Amino acid sequence: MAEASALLFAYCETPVHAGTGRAVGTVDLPIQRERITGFPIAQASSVKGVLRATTQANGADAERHRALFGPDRPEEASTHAGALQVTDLQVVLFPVRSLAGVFAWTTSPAVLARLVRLAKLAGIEGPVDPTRFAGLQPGQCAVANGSALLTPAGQQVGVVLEEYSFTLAGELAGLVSALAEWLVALALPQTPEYAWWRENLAKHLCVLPDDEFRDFVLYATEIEAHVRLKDETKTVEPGALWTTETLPAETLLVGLLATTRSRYDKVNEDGRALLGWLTGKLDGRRVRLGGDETTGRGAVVLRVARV
Amino acid sequence: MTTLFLEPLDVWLFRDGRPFTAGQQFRAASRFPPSPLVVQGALRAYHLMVHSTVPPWDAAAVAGVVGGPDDWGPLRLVGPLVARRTASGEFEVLLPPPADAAFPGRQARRLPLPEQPPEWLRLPTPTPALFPLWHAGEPVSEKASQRLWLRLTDFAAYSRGEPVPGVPQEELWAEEVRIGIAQDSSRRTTREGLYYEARYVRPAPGVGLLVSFTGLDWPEPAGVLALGGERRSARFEVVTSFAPPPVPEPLPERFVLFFLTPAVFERGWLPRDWGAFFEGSVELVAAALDRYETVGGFDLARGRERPAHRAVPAGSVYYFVARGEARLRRTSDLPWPTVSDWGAEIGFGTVLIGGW
Repeated sequence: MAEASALLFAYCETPVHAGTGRAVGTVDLPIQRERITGFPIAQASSVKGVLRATTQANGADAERHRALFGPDRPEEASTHAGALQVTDLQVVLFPVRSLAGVFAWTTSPAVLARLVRLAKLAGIEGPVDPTRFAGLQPGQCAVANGSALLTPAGQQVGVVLEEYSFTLAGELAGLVSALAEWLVALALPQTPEYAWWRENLAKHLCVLPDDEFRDFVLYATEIEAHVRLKDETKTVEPGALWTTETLPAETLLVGLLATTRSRYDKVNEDGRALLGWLTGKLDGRRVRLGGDETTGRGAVVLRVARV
Repeated sequence: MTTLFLEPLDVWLFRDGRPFTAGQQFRAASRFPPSPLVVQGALRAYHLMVHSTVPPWDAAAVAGVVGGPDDWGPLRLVGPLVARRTASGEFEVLLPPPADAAFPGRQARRLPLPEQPPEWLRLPTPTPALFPLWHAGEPVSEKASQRLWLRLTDFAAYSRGEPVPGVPQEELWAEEVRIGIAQDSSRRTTREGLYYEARYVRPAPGVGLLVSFTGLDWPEPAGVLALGGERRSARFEVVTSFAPPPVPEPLPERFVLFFLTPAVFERGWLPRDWGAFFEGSVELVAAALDRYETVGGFDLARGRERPAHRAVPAGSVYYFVARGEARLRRTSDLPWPTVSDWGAEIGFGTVLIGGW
């Protein structure tokens, strides 16, 4: 129901624990994932809650805030709907340990196809035609020319991520550079402290086949063990050992923000004006997403890309 | 006429009729596909907010554009139907599991309906007796636990009683359970008692809803609209290539109405009068239907729930015999006919005609 749309990128500066609260698997507190692909997400209700809290305002801005997010008080919830529509944040780049270059930002054709679809809805062209990567064979990857990830693999040069080695699909190098350029321009924070990231994204970017990418996002997240100590003895309380999964720092997520004109009778603004106001409040902002924020989890930098 | 394909950007939530009240019930369940009421609401709301400049808080002006809360305005709609994009870019429509099917293996086969009432049914009763869907002596394979969806292209073969391959539901969508909390933003803590669990629908990649309508100008070839609970997003795309099967005129002597969406009838599973839907004389001889489903919804204009209706579920099949030449009354030029005492204008009782 959109009059205006924008891409919302979230760059993880610390590990992020957007949790599900319970699990039957080996990790006690896993992160949120899509049911069908298993890809990590931050669900829209968490994201909207963070955006709402971040942009709380006074005076005329308070009315605009209400027009966007809907009434704050649950008993007023049915008076009008908010003008803003938020989607889940989906993974775009997932960092994986690399033998050369310390770590790689990995992505896959399916991930890029979704990014292109979202970008198109926001009226943004690109970044690349994802079908061009469809020919990637199992065990192959695509990196840019002059990549920092290259390492000798037998007689050839390849990429080694965790303990898996990949050969190169050399003909796709130009496409990877174009993708990196697009992400640097639209997705990464533009502040001076991100200069290293902007310069190095192309050298660390790696497009993997979908299955390999899926395996990394399923099995290469961070798992931390926690214990609780007894105050008096400083020994572990019986039964107080649990594991928590987090999305690693350097992950890049993306979602869509869409706005209609206001349904709140005190604010008569169209979707573009409301989205413009929201963009001003969010772009470049550092917020906390997910749980455990008092122990340093969930610091993300937001970037809003719109035409 | 416009036909849209709606696909999710992440998950959808279409609440069923069960209550979801803090302190009493912490689980919100979802149904799929949504009822036509949800889709008409989404289309009308989009049309109002994007194609008009009417203030949404001015009820009279809103009614002038999209109709009031109790009429449907100019909108006439059929569907929504579950469909998926094939590798060639075409759309494959999937029919809900038929209530008259057995599912041996991964196939669907219509139960054998006798053309004449069996001997033991010929009773001098004052009310016409319906045929059973099978009679003693006819071997019926045991029902598989999983009901299968049918491809529209297989429907003709299915109507002839041939076994056709079905599509299991898990290939089409999965349930995604999510935990939610309410946070007190001033204290950054969870609010006591406001923990909930919602079961969302996650359609498989390429799976979405197909809906055809008239009465609303729809200039955009693609875009995003809010559909169902939580203003979840649906990407829409205008479809020009899809053509449903033609409605046979006149109707064959022995025909079925296969309900693709729920239908609301005045007398439970029977309408006030079949004559309202047909020209000519037809006689109902058998029916296969599952238990009723409840169709409710939210009235945005009044800010409260709509009254709930009990509906004949999608997948129900009614068997008829036409006495002489009979035709289905068409009230719109939409590609699918609708048969329902309530809501036929917005897609309740969207039917497919088959033979038997």
